[in-house]
Amino acid sequence: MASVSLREIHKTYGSGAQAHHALKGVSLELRDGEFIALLGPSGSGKTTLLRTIAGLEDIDEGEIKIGSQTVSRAQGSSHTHVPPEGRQVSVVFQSHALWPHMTVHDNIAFPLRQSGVASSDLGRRVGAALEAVELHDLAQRYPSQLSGGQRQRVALARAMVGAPRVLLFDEPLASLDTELRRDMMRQIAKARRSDMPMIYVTHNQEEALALSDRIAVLAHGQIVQLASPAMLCQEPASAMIAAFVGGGNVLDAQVVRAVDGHTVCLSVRGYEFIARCRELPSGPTVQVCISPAAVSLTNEARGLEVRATFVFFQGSSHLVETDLMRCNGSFFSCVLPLGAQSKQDDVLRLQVHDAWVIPAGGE
Amino acid sequence: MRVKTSGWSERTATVACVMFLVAFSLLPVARLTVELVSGLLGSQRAAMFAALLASSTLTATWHSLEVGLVGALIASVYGLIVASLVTLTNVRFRNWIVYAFVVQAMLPPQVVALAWLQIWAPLRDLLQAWGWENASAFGNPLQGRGGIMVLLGIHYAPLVFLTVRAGLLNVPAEVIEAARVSGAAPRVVLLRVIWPLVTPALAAGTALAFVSCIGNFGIPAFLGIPANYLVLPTLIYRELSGFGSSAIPSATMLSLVVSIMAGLGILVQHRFANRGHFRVTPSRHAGAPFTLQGARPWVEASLLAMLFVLLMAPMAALLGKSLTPAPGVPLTWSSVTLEHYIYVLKDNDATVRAFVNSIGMSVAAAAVLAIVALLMAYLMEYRQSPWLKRLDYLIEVPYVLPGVVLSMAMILLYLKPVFGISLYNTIGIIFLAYLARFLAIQLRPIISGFQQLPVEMLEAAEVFGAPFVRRLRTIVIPLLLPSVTAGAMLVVLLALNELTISALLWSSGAETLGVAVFNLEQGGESAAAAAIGMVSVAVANLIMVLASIVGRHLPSGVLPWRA
Repeated sequence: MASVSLREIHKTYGSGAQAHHALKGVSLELRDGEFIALLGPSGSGKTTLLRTIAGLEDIDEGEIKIGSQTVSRAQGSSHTHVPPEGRQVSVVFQSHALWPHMTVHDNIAFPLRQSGVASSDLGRRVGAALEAVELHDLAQRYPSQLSGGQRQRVALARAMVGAPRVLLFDEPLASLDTELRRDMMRQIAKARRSDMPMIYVTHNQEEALALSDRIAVLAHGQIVQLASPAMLCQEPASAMIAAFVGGGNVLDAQVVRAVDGHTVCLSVRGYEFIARCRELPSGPTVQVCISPAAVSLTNEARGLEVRATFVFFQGSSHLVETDLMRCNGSFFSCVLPLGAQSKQDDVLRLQVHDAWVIPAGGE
Repeated sequence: MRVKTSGWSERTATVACVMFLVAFSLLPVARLTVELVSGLLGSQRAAMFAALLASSTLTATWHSLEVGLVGALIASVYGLIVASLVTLTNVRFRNWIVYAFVVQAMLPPQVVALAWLQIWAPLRDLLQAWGWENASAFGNPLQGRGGIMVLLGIHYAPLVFLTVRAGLLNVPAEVIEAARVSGAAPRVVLLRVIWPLVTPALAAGTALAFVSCIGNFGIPAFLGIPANYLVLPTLIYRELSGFGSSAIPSATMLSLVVSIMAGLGILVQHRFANRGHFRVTPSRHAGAPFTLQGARPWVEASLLAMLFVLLMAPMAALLGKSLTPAPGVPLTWSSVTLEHYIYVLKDNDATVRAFVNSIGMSVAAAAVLAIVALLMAYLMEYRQSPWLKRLDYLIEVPYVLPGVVLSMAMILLYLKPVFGISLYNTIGIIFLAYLARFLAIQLRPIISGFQQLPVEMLEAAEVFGAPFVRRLRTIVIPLLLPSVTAGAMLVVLLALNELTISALLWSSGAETLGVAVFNLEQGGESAAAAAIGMVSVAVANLIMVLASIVGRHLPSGVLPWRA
């Protein structure tokens, strides 16, 4: 049984000419204990979707169920909306949203007090939650006395303590630096429980790839792909997704011949290479996605000939931008090892190791 | 702190601004202090101690304290409730409610008091008509302690409202949402999260209301003097108008007492005003987190009805009074008369002079202060002038000082001719007092305008070679014109409506509008006083509408009624 289920959610802000259709029929099922990331650029509707699950936003159409309880339903004139306090969900906010006039202990105890936990039990449970985020000695501090990373840990402890039915994250790491971000990602991964699904909103692909069981990519209020992190990287459903999770090297290529049901031979600038595909292409050209790391230099005459237009030194490798134009107007780039001697204006011969044909109809 | 070189013209401007502050903020306070110290060390000691311990002083001190505390309490409860409803729920007509609410504080208190006094007569007739025979045996119930407390509370509730509303708007939406998803019902969120977070703002606003209540002259003058219920400002007024300069020692002592009370209030206000800031900038401000369902029309109706009664009922009574030919004559379409308006606007020399004086002085004060404040803001905000920064606490002093205390200081300063010019008993002394009192009002919007202005704009002008005066003319003035105009209009508004200062400083020939209303009412000419009151209210509303148009693009908070 799905523990969170969204069916055909629609949400519009404003009306008339200013109407903004934020969610256009989003459906999603979460299994118990599953971790799903909602990944998308700003304005894609991911935060709105999270807020409708929390009950902070009403929906215009559709149905949201948590466990067997229908928490939101809008169909014609019939309307159900369980307010946030009646949903037994928790949210970790981007700005941590700790209450500045309460101590760490009181912040964490607040959800327990609301659900009527006996005061004898309170101290033990707050202590356990603080223990879990390794902050047991800071219980009597105020939020203003904590560092940014500590605050976000307290926010995580507060969200976990009441044993919510769903744990929601709204870009929780966006305001942290790289080191703290890794630390919090570890804490979040540790907090996973088999009976509690988590939904994690982010525009950062690294977080989504590292934490999730599945990733739902949103664009313009719709889920454009729902897949495991590995699948998403290897088989993006559209050029936009390829740009968002991979390096975004999407090129126009001529179809040379089909190899078998799931592989096809393509040609770019006369260079022929093999690409995977979901179904064999019907037309003479396709869009093909080539990861920047899936190419290497070759000495053979038979190679993809490109001119290096700019070389970015990246510490342990070079990112080389070339004169080969991508579908979106920017330029094909590839990652080459430092020893490979690539300078600006050099002509390089590349070999493509892996490529994926973007399915027709993917936007 | 940025270190910058500045040319001689900027140094001249700095010197001029410092001299202005010294002359108008430091000197009055210093003069009062000298009078106090020399009096206590010298021959006046006995008289001063006698004044301090006189039963009238102790009574008036107690009265000031009780009307200050109860008035501030009423203002705080009323302001908190209205601010919470308007800010946290989805009530409609929000702008109207805010405007109607804040307008109360912008009306001259003496006119408000006069207007409320006019309600009793028609109400008494109504009660008698309904069969309450004894109604006429009662005096006007607004006269005396209770009426003063209630009217002060209503009049200064907008001060609490504005600080609390600013505090509420500062609560990040996520903090409220975090409480909701933690299982807290709206009532719990309000009591455990939102109100505790605005407690500092509430305390600061209440302290400000207290200071304003004990400094107010108009309301206790109209409601208290006839009932012989005196507070410190009205006692000082009575001493000085009764005994002239021989009352200066005792009036100085009384000024000290009311200043100490105000000073304590200011301390409390400052202590809380700087608290309650969040370390993180809220990503979203809490819009209106609570949705009123079926109750919404009821809440809207009761808010609007309350504002209508509190604002319109006294104004209607005042209008009625000003149009009624004589006391006792029923007001009908055929008995309506404009004779009182003709009398105050044309026939009575003193009131005509009052109009000319008040309008002239308020416009002139606004013009002078606009220039001074513009220079001062430029030097303080852009140049970070260490001299002005060091003196900036002086700017507010003449404004927060109770009006009677500032007047006392001005009397002491100008009682004897200065450089051969005698200002005492002329309109000049009132004008100087206005310059001192309203600098803070003119400066505040300009400072906030400067803070919105990217420093780079001025630096660019400097880099491209524009000298100081041209920089002001081509960059600063055009960009800050709305702030300057809005500030100037506030100055005109407050100076036109002012009574506290001119009550002590006026003399024959140097009347102000406030004084004219007060004198007419004291002389039993209530209808003529009502006519001036109506004209003042109309002018005040006109200025507020004009300022709103000018200030449409200003950041919220510059115009108090557009918060």
